[in-house]
Amino acid sequence: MDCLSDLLLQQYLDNEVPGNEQHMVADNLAGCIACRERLEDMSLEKEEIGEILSVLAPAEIPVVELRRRPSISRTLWPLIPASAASVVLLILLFGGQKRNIESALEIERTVYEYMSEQDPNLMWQGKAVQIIIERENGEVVISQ
Amino acid sequence: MSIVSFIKIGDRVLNVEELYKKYYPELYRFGYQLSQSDELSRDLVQESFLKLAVTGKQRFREIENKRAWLFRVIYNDFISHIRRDERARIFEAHLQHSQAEEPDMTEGYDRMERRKIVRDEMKKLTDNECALLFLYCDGFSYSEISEILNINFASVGNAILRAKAKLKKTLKTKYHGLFE
Repeated sequence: MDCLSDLLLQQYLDNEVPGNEQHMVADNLAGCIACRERLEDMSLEKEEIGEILSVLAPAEIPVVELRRRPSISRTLWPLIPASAASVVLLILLFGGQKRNIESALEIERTVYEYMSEQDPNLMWQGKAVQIIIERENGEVVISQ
Repeated sequence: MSIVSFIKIGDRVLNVEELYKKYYPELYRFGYQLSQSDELSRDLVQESFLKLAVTGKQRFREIENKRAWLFRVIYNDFISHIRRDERARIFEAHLQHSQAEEPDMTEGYDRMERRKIVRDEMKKLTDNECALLFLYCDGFSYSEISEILNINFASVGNAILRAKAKLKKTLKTKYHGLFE
C-alpha cells in the first residue's frame, strides 16, 4: 500500500479531503501505521504553530463603538437648508431616483447608497461630481 | 441612527451594528495579527464595516458569506496601506510602546520576548503566507481562506504546507528549541 501524500494528510486533518478520495484515504489510514503517525505529527504541529502564533494575537480586545468617518455627503450636509423644500445642488453623481427619507441622516445614507450602487468600488470618494437633491413631502429625488 | 446602522434589503432590515458586535473581536484579532497595531486594527475593522454598509443592495445580496467578505476587505486594505517597510516600522513602534508602558504587567516579559522573536521571523514570510497561517490556525475552511486571500481553492492545501514549512524552517534555524 502506497503512503498518502502530505497534501492528502493535510486535507484529512482539516476535513477537506475531496469527496472522491475520502474512501481511499480512510482505507489507507486504517491499514498504514506510518501514515497514522505522520497524521499525528501533523496534528501536533498544527497545535504547536497555533500556540506560537497566538503570541501575536492581542492580549485584550477592546470594545470600540462603530463610528462614522468623514464623508463627502456629511461634509456637504451643512450646506443643505434645514427647511430644504427646495432644489439643492451638491457635488456628486448621475442618474435619477426616488427614495423615501425621514431625516438628515437618512439623506446621508441615501446618498451613500446611491453612490455605491453607481460605483460599488467607491471610486467616487474624494472626487467632485454633481448631483441634485430635491426634497418634496418626505421624498427625495437624486439626479444629475 | 447612524449611516451604518442599517441597510434595507427589500423588505428586510439588516442591522450592521449587530454584525459589528458579532464579528468585531475576530476581525480585530486578525487585523492585529497582521499589523501588530491596535490603532490600525481598529481602523481596518471600522473601514470594513463602512464598506459593507455602503455596498449597494444588489451587491450586498450577492455577498453570501459576510464574515469572509469582511476578512477579505481587512486583508486587502492591510495590503494596500501597509508595505513591508511600513509594517516593520509599526512593529518597532509597537514594541517600544509595549516596553515603555506595559513591561511585565499585561503579558509578562517572556511572552513579550516570544512575541518579538515570532514577529521578527514572520517578517520573512510574505503577507499572504502570514495571513494564511493566521486564518488556518483560527480554523477557517479552505473555501473561506480561498475567498479571503483570493487564491485558488484547489491550491489552499499546498499553500498551507508551504507556509508551515517556511515558518518551521525560519523558527527552527535561528531559535531551535525555543518553543519546546
